[in-house]
Amino acid sequence: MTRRFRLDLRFYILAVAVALVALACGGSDGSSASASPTETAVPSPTSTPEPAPGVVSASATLSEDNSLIARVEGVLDGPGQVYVEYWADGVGRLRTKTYDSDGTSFTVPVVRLRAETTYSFQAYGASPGGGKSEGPSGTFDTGHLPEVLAASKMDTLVGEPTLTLTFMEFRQAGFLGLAAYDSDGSIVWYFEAPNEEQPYVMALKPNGNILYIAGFQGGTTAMAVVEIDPLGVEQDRLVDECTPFGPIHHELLVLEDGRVMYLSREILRPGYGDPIMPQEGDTIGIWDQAAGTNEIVWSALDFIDPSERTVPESNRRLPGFPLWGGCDRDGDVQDWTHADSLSMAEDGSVLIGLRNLDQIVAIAPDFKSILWRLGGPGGEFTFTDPTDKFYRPHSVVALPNGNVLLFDNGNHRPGEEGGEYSRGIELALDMDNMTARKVWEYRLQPDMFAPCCSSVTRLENGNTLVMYGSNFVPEATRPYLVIESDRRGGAAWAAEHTSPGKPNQYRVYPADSIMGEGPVFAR
Amino acid sequence: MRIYRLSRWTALAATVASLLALAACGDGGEPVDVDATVVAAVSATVEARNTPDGEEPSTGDPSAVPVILETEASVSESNPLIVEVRIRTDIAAQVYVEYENGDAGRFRTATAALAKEHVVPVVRLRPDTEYSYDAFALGPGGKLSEVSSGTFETGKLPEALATIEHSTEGSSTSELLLLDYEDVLGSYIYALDSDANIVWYYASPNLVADQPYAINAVRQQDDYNLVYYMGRNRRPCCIREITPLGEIVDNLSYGDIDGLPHHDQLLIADREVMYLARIYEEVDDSANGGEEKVLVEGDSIRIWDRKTGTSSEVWNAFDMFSTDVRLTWETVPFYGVPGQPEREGEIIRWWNANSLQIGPRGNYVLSVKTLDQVISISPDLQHVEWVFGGPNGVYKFATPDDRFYLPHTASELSNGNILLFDNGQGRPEDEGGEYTRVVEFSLSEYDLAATKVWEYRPSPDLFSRTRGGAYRLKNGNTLVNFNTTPRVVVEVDRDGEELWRLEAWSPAYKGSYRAYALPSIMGETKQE
Repeated sequence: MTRRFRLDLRFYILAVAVALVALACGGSDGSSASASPTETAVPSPTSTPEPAPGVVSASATLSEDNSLIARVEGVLDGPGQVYVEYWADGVGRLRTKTYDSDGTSFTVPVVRLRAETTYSFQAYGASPGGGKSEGPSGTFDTGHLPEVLAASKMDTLVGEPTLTLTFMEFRQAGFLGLAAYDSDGSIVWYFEAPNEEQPYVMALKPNGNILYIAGFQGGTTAMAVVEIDPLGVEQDRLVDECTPFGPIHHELLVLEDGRVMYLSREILRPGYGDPIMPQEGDTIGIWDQAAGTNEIVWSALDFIDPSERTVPESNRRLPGFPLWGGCDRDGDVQDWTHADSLSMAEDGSVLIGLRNLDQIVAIAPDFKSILWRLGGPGGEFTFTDPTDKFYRPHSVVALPNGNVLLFDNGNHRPGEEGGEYSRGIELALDMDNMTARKVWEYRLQPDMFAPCCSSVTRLENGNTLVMYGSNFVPEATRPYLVIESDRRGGAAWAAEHTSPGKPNQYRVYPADSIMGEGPVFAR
Repeated sequence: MRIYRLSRWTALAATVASLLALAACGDGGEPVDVDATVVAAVSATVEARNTPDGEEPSTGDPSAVPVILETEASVSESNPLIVEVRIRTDIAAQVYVEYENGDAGRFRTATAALAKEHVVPVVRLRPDTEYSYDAFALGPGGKLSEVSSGTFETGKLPEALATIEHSTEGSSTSELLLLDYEDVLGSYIYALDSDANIVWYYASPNLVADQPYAINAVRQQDDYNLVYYMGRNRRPCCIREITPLGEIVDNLSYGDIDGLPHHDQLLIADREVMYLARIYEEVDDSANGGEEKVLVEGDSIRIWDRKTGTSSEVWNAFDMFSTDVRLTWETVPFYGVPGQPEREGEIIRWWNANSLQIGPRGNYVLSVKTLDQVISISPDLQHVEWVFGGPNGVYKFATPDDRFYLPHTASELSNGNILLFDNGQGRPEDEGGEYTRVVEFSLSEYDLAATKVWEYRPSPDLFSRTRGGAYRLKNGNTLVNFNTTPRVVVEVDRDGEELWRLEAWSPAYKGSYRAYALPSIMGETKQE
């Protein structure tokens, strides 16, 4: 996930750089809007190297399909570029990215809007050289949120986040989709999935588009991998026909070359054990959208023996619920490895988190060998302190320094190691002595135990977003904690998300923009 | 397999201990009906019985071939289904007996240790049946003697057992079935062979004449001794260890120190028995509209160390659960509570478990009948891992019909699923009303959903209002005991199909708790 974030940030830094050049036109619009000093700001233009087209007309309309997406349409006096600034009471001034006109007509999508709010906007003409012209202004009202989203909350408990947006999945009766909160706890973007698909894993692409796994019913296996743009318009779709690639589950990783790595599964038959049972082993696949290809590049069954397992986790079988079971969702298949995350290291090796083996495996860049195994049966590292061991992890991240970051759910952690509690933990690996030791952790006080799901994300500033995505509180009030922890394990920001009826929170995704928009400093 | 070897002295000491324990058992000095078998310490037999094959070091000439000088078979005076074969050899030899009846089949006893004089107990015998037997002796070097043969005829069953009508359909996959049985006058443990013949029994003594003490859990040790609980709410008693010959080896009576055992116990390492014991705490219930001081009944888990004769509490419900979370909150008269010999006053029944199982990770799974729930306690007994069902259950049911009521014998299977006997007492009409079934759930940590993945519900329905139980066998089948009239025991396969069905009826039948698949009563094996 860190990898994805880094790619996204790179893109955004590039976008900001382009904006700096393109919008270096100066001037003030007299807005009194302010922005948080922690937000990445789009500087106001300071000069006009070449004339920008004039904006003849501009009017705003709200999307018929989404109450938080507007578009400003209008006419320029000549072909060129245009952007829109928009603001509301209590909401900082934001600016869209710059769009090319279509002849003299233009349409600028406006996102990151709060519900039931009156926004003011002003259109600006722009030139590739940085010219700017002030255009007409106006207002528009956003609509109501879907009922489930309206009932949800993201209450800040302390501090403020480094990145102002938090994406997450909503997978509950009444709403199946994705949404993003701003730092004030307002939902400012959402996407409701079609066809009763249940998005539960997403990845932000460098172009701002979003990939998600369209979960099948209540399970984690996929109907498809779908790419949408921030307006919710489908751009691409890999139908999970299962054989021979599926079922896709749990992870999407956008690689630097644009390909999409995912987790899938294959079944070992007749299997293992007494009585012998089919075993579900995880695989890694790569979807190359540009080439239109899709292939499985690695299988746990080629490298790990099914005798290496934990009990009862590796013996768990597919319930009637369509969680696992291969393409046939076979109820006799045992959930041997249960991978739930992928991460690519700086050297091109791939980490896979095998939850049911309490293990992280490093796979060589060519996928032809295993480099090391950390934790669980067959683990090659000694934990210098037994309390550094992790149990049933989620969200494994390869850090640039070679360390491994993960969410240690802690299911069935032995009492002598502290019992069942959850934490984010960073482990340093000594490859000479094959030892592992904790170098950072975030652990709530008092402890919280998240038996499932949950995520960790290392931010560029070294902070870590830790999300506790499961607990035993009744669904009507079940809280999910999101904490941005600093390097010392303190909480720079903490928020509590609730959405009555939401059974769990698989991950959250920090971001600073939805569609290239950004805050405008006061001028 | 843990092998326990009793010496003559430990056997004698155990017998004495059991007598002492028995003397301490009972309510306020009520007469104790000690079965005569208790004092019939057959230490030589015990020693031989508990010596595993081939473990005894050989002494003497390895080329020597033993000669059986004399054999004699006699039916035990205390039990018509136990025969003692006395064997005398010319040199110290190991001995065993093979015995046969045309209908019952041929069996072989365990091999007794080197000695010249042996008393080999023979069990798994049908009543009123003539058997032939062959005695064999093995010399120090393993040379086999010539066979010495004879016959014996078993006696009649006690009337209480003889009047039970057993009828079966289909075939059981188990050679033996162990059953508890309570009738109006007494309680028994007995074993049925695959043809539904009683081939072993033990008459559990009434501590008060003509007042049966129900038998709950029965556990078989590796040395074939049985550890069972006898007693009931109003007549608590004890956990007992008996040999297959009916000798009481050890006894833990309820009392101030050891608490009030009930319903279930587990055999754990080093002759330790983990058991459920009731405990009582005074709580302030005014926040719930109750009185400021009410005495509430909960449960604890204790471990009885039979090596030292002591017990200790390792867990209790009051430490882990709030009395504010309740389903049953009924006022009942005191019964046999430690420190309350007069049984005066009242208690609030709040948290009562009725089964205890060690899960695949070493966790402890309990069914809590007063809260319609199953819980898992961590292997170190320091925290509750999850609560399933009832008012504070964390897993949601896919449909209301999946809810269970008054569960028994909850167990976590090797795949993490939960199997339980759902008595169904109090099941609402809109969930199907009162019927009994066995149901297996998969518990998903992903969305905290409980999904029914298997169910056995007989057709027509049976309703086991109380007691009953179900166990998953190693072959994947499930053995179920319905405490109905007639009693019904079934073995069902993974598809829910009945492979075998036993119905047992007696006019004196009062109730039953569980049925167990048993490989052997005393180490005897069937000969093909």
